Amino acid sequence: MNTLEIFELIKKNLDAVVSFQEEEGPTPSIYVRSDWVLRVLTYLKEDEALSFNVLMNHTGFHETESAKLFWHLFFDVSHDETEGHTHEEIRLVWHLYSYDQEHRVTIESSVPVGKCEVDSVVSLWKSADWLEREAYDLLGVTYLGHPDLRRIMLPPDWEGFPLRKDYVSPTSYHNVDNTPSEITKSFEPKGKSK
Amino acid sequence: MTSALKTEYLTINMGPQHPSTHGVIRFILKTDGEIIHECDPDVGYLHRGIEKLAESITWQGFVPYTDRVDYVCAMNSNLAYCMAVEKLMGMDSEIPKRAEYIRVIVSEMNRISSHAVAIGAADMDMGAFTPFIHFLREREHINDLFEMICGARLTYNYICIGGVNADVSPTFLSKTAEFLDHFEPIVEQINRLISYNQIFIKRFADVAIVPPKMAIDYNLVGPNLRGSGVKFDIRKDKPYSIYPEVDFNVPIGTGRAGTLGDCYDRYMVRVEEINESIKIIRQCLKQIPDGETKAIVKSSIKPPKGHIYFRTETPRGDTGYFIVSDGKTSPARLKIRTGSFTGMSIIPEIARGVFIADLVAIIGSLDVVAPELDR
Amino acid sequence: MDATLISLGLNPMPAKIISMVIICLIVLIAFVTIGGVLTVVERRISGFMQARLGPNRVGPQGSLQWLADGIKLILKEDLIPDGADRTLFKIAPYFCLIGVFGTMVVFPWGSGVMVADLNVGLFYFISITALVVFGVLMAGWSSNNKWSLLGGMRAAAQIVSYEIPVGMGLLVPILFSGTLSMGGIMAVQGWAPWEWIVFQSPFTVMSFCIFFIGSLAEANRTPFDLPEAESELVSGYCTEYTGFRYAVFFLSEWANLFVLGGLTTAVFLGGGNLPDFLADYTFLSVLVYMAKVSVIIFVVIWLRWTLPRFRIDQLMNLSWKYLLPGAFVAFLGQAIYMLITQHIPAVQTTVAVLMFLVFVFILIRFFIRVRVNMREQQIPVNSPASDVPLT
Repeated sequence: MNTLEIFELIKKNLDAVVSFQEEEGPTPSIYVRSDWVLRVLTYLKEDEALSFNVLMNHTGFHETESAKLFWHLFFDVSHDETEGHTHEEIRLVWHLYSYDQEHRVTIESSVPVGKCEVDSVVSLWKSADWLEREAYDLLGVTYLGHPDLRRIMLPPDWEGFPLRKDYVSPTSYHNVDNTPSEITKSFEPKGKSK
Repeated sequence: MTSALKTEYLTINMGPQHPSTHGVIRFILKTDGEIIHECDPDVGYLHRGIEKLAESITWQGFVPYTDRVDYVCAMNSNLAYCMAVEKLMGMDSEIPKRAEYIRVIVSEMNRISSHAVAIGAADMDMGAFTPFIHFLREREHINDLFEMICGARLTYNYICIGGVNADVSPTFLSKTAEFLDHFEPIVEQINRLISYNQIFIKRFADVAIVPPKMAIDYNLVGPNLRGSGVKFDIRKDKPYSIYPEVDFNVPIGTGRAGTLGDCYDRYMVRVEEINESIKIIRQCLKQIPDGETKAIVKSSIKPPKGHIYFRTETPRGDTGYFIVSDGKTSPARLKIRTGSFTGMSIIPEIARGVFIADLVAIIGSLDVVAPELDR
Repeated sequence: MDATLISLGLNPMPAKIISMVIICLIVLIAFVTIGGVLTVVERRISGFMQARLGPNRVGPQGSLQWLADGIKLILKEDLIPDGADRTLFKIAPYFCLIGVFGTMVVFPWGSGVMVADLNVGLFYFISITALVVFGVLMAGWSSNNKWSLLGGMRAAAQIVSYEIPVGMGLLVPILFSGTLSMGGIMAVQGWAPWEWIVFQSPFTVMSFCIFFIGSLAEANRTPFDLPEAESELVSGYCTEYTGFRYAVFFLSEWANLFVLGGLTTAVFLGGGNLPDFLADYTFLSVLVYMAKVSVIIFVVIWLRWTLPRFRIDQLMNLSWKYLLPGAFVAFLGQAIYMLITQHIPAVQTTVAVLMFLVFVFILIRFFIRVRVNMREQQIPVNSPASDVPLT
């Protein structure tokens, strides 16, 4: 089953706020509003014709500018407005595969940077546990209902989320100096130095 | 009734410096004597931020970094990244045939060396040191061959976007054939030395059983998944490159020595995959055509906007490269979902109620490589 | 020797003491040297088995490597971890040392070459080696390290369990020879293989196997090296030891290897017995004895570099479920067998010769198998570019 058919099925059976996105890149994907994620993914896993029994990958990425167009186009902006006037967002991606039906689908969603909260899918796939911990660690997405949401790669007392675009490397950590040396600076491209 | 004797669990810190954690991984164990009650893997000691680095580096400039993602099978990592970018640019059909064949030959060679290290390390964890050294000796031959084609022995940077960096000489091909003739009996010899050894089988059989359902739920990939009896190999089921043109089997676990999905099944799947890789390389050596080895690629590429999740079969299983392009000279986001990562995430579940010595067997049989796990 | 000293004008009592001290020193130095040399031998053999060189720089063929290692270890700082039980930590290595070196009292270096041929020689042997477990347990407990503790506990469980099959296995030769003295046991055996105790009956073979496996476990050799399993317990009970104390542990371990070989040879393999016409040459007897011990030591080293390691529960199962009942069966079987063959020595001799022939046959089969492997190794690889045919 290709992504379009899956999209039609979701629309028909779930009445969810979804949209289909094909233009961008070679992988078509289905956009889901963040508060619908758990319901859509549960449907995808439990429907017999779809039976997506494996979560291959889950991650997110930080969109600074271009994404806000998308946000206003497809969804109502109500909870965007309650959270200050930021248009930055974290786009989340779930890649699902079915060993039974041998088809795959990409589900996308997005949460505003000020309110990075989405439902956890650990109850559906165990593999989501560590993937969500990683996304929490590096992107700062909070997963509601995750049993053990801790940092995974970085030490527990680390500040900030490195994979966000506005992340600045700390100049010291536990009194260890991390300011770039003169030699390091000499390698930096000109005009980019802060 | 309150007992006068109070007992408590013994908390043991295994790693980050421990001989059998295959790199820098830490386990916090709560044990009852020698029986593990709870095992909490603490990863991240080798987190180098490769995904963040990718965001400030050109598309071609990232290829050497993929070597460092998994240095045991650098060719496969190169291949996974380059194919993902080619697919993103829509130029995957432009790759010359000869380049495709060379890619498959070198990545299968690297699969052999990676599996050899994995098997050897598992043997070493069980206390048998000799098979590991013998496999390292054979791996040296593969490294010599790779040195012939790209000058490097560990981090190759050989496969590039659009093909391969240099053509191979006829001597390389004939020497590869010679190596295969030499290596094939050695696999069986080492099997007789260790894999069919009763002590070894007793240590591996019926330990840390992963039923197929659980393996899928935890998204185990590659040999670990096939060890649980799920017959899925991306080279076969979602073929890429020239894999549809070669003939090979997909070995799966059958509960050879105990229960389906135990450590011994995972181990033997790797042994059999070595033989399948030998078969693939032999066919490729026969079929390899003449011609170009690199498609014309601009020195500074800018793939169109969009994202892709591309999977290839590396020795540690299905490695997925999730790449987001915003049409600039470097990726907007690059995420590598590796086999070691999912392999590691299942350890707390299966390492409950086993001996400390079994935990070592589990790590060895799952073939966890720390740099690939942490990236 | 004391006679020589008395003739030099000393009183009998001091002469006795001085001669004893001299003998002790000679044997001690011999033991230390053997223990040291064995470390080099083991490393060279393992290098040979693993397609590498091993130590070959210090002295001819690396034969003085042990001295260099020893000097290095003595020069190292003697670290005692914070929170360790200092007294126990310091004395633990010497318990191991005494346990192993105490055996030299009854250690037979050949026919009649022995410090003291005690009439309870074997019994003394088994008792004094039990001291090793105290040393290991102390080291594990006092190190204030959980890995050491686990190693020490494993060692205690393992060595105590395997003492019993080893002791039971030794009962069969004792039954056969009717004596507990080392010299006595050697004396009942002849020089020829079919006169050795091991080939006397199926039950002696059985007890030999049980004894050999058990003493491997007692000496902490692979496949029973759980107390210091380096891939599981880092280094087991000696994780926290450095410098000289570490060297003492290792010295006693390799000396133990030699003791194992010596005891096996003396009890089962005819010791240093020579044919009658050569019986006067004591030196030759020592040489024969050493040759047999070397073979046993080689086999032990060979096993170590071939076999993987047991798990602790499998180890206990092996001891209590298989070796111990097996030892009982061997003991009873041998008793009945001796009753039957008591009056017909011809049967006894025939069985012995047959057993020996079976052994020779197995050996020949083994060498044929080795030749097949050798041939597979010789398939060329990485030959010069000019020799490779172009495909």
